[in-house]
Amino acid sequence: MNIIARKSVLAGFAALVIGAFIVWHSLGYRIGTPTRMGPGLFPLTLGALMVLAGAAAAIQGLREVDEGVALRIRPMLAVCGALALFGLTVDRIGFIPAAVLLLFVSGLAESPPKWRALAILSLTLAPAAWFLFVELLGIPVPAFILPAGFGGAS
Amino acid sequence: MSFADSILLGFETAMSFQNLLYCLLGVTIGMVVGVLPGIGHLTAISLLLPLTFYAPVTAGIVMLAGIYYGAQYGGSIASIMINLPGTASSAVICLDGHPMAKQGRAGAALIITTIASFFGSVVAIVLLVALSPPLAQAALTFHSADYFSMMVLGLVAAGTLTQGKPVMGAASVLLGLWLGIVGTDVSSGALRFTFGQPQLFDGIGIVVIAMAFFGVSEVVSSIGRDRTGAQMTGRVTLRSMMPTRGDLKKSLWPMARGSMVGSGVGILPGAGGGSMASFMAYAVEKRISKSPEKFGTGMVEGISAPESANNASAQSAFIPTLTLGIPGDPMMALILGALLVHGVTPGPTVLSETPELFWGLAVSFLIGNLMLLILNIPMMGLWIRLLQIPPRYLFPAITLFIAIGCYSASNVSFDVLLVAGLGLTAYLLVSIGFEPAPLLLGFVLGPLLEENFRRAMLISRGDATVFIERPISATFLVASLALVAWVAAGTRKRKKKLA
Repeated sequence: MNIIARKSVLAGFAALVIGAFIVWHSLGYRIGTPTRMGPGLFPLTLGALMVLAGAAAAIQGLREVDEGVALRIRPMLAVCGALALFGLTVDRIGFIPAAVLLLFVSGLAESPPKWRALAILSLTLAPAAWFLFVELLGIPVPAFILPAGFGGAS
Repeated sequence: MSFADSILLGFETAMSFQNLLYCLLGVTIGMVVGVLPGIGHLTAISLLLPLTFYAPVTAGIVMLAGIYYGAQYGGSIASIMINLPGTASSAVICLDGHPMAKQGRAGAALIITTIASFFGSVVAIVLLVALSPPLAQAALTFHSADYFSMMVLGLVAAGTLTQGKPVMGAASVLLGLWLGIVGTDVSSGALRFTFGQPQLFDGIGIVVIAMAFFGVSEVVSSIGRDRTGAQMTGRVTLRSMMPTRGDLKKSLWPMARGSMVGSGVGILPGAGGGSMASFMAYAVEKRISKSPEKFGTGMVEGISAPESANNASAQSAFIPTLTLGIPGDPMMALILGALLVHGVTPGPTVLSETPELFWGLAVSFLIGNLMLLILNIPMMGLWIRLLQIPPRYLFPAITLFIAIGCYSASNVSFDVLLVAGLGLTAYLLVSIGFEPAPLLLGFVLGPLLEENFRRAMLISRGDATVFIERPISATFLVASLALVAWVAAGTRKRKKKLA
């Protein structure tokens, strides 16, 4: 098995890299004196401890029989992609179209996608959510934004 | 304020129409998410956290708490009927609850767990009311050094008492602490780790972190998972729910013991809430039983004790959160985060400065538990039917709620993009062994930990011995060290066994 594909080794390595990044970044802030701590001291300590924890986890992982990592790539991309798409579109095309887009893209997580369920959700949940959040709770976002040529809000 | 005045104030607050409504809403949502396997109460509360920002603080916390203990009631229904725990803390109910269902005693099992839940909750609520005032009084004398050391103990406990590897628990706590301090440093005004993004100047919101680690990551790992084998066992009629006198008699002491175990575990920092409480209560029952070999075959004691324990711990967990400002589990970290968003600093001053919050909450627990007890008996059939909701509707809906929730918390689409990115990272990190629970605790405590350390050092003029010279602080630090040593010894022992 590829050494980096082993779970604890990979986890330790990830912690080590994040810790090192925090340390490197913290050095750019003022460390200060013990009496008057600068903004850099706390993250520097955190980062250093994280490097240690990561190294320990990686060494432990090397010593023992370890399991591999099983990632669920398709759901991961579908769900996170759907969220990102909503974030990118909601201010441009309006709440309901963005919500429908999100529902269908997140539905791609399953293979085959359950089109009928997604259509039902788009027709029921998207307007219900709009009513709850926009009408009742007052989030400032219009339900639809039509392209300027159609005489909608521009 | 006298005790009677306080209780009266509590009733006055909790019985207001708005608070009653939020309480009912909370416990109902709690029951639903508790029943449905696949969404835990942490996911549900993360999703609903932004909604509470629109309500007054007491109503919001009443609702969040209602979801929490409501889910403890609901979780056992799935355990009994389909042998899949609805929440992590009701996993142990599968052991004896499902065999009972197989023997045609599902109704009795369901009603016993409801009664046991109520019993455990009431015991813990009494403890909450009795212990909090003196504890808060004592905590008023705490200095920043003591607070720092107490938080260290909580974080060490959260990091080491995990299912996974203690080193990864520690790394998760540290990562959480770091995420917690992103943004403007309160004392120097320096911008830390904002990467030039103005949206990060105020730090990362608790909603975004909670949604990423308990929403996105959960959805990704359970979407499209097969639930075959989840066969409904047994039919439940109102008549079959009548427990026999024997069942009740056999349950009385287990419920009492379970409530004590649960209350104790709930108060401990970082003990992981309900699941540890219910497993410990089960172990205790098995040890003192005259027929331990029968456990796992449908013993009433095997459901009543753990069920009392997990509900007791759900209530007693509020004691350190409300009086010391130290959350013991991720759920309490979310409550603490919600309080901070509302501008209430959790700690010993809550009782004196916002007594209506504390007493109103305590009384609302009692009311909420009564609602659950009353609602559950006629509505059991409906809850059971919920188990048949196909998951294909569930997960796209949750994803939509994550997006809207993040957007509504700050009204900027940047937060939705942030949750998409952090959610992806969260899923990757969790699947290689990072732990979301200690991470969230670290996230909430990060700024507080730094602030108290800074203040302690400022007062002592840079002399770090202040942490061991103050007896309270020293006690917490010694306890933290002992915990680390104990866990390290445990790991070594386990390794020897393997070799």
